[in-house]
Amino acid sequence: METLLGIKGPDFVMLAADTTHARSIIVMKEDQNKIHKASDNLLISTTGESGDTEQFTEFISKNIALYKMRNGYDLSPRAAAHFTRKNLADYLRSRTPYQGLHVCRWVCFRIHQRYDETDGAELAFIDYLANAKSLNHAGHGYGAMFCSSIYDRYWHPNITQDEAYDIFKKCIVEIQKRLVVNLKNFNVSVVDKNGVRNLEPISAQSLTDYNASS
Amino acid sequence: MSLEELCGLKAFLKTTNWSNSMRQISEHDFQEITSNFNNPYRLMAPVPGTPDLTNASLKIDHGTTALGFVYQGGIVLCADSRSSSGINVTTQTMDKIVPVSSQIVGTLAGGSADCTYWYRVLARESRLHELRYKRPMSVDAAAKMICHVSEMHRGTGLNMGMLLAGYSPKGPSLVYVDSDGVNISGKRFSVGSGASNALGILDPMYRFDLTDEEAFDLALQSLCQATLCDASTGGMVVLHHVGPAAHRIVRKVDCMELHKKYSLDARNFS
Repeated sequence: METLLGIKGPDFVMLAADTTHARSIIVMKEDQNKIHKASDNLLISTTGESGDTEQFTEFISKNIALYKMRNGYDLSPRAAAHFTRKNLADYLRSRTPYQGLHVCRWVCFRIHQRYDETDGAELAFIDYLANAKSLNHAGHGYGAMFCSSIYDRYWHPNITQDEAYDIFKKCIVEIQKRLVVNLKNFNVSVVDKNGVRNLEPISAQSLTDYNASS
Repeated sequence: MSLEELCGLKAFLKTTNWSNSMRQISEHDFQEITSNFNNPYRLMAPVPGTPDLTNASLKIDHGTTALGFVYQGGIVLCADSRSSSGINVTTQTMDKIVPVSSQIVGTLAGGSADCTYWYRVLARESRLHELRYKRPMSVDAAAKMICHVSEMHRGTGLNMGMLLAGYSPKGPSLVYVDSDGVNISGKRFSVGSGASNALGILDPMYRFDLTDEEAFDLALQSLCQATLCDASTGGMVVLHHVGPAAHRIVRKVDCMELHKKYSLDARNFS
């Protein structure tokens, strides 16, 4: 039910994630941040089985931190995505009764993204079957089903941060209009050469006088 | 073994004869089985592979309503005391709000055995933490511990949900953890089979600036509604208050008393 969105620009990547934490039919929390800062220029947003996503995100980000401590430099963007994918693939094929099997089965549709000084922006789409693909725009969850057409229509290679934020607004308007699940708030974060920044969250309230057709 | 049969364990326990294998048990095996005496995190390894507990006719105790919320005067925790096993009420006097340390209080929901065991491990660990580091264990640390336990025992049928409440120098914190490894902190939670009923009352009437009496009343009213609507919630309703310095039991009322009080209130209101 949860939704993650991501857009890559020439020199930034922007992520949006809803803030609803639900267990069965009950909404447990309405301000859960699902966009995690894994290092100075790496954001990971995860959705899926809530315990697993938390455990897995933490495992990945701590290992990325460990890599930096050991080597004195950060894991490159592709390497970070590959490391994540490799872990998911290993879990998927493990028969260990504990973490392995279970972590993989339910976890983590995930978007994994970072900005790197040399390689520019990278947005990796990784899912629980250990697919990993570098994309220009991506989404996870039911909400993302409404967004691919919006991305296709409005995304272009020289997109600016303001335009990307506006695309998210259009996506969220559509999600709140058409998706049967109530996803009120979305956190938005951006990573560019200056590092990670949180932008103004997009909520039903902030969209009241937004004209999506403009 | 009769107990084994009674529990329907044979279906998924592939050992041919338990009593035979008991005879062959070595010193090493014995130590393995009782390893949790030395290290509470280690339990005897479950059946190889993932045991499918859906086929076992185990009736695990469950059915609870526990709620907790943060307000200006601290944290309020409220829970019933009924423990049921299938359609039977096992006891009406179970303590579901338990002190983990001098700083932390927890509520237990889910399988009673799981909850009781891991609560005791948690209490032990937090005491050891206090002795080792000369400062109390934080609520987040306690929650993380339960979270790791849940992760270690994924798929083995572990079933529990806990609310942990306590004060740290940063202020009050209330965390929800369960056997799926979920760990979320927030201002207002309700756990158990009657959670949705309790939330129906709690949500619209909750404000952060409630006075102590208003907060206690709101908690009791929410739980009273849960005892009315949920069959496995009932017995004594226990109300805990967690303040900056200490936690205490505020009230322990039979839910019948609450019914009398609040259903009358409701009638006057309409």
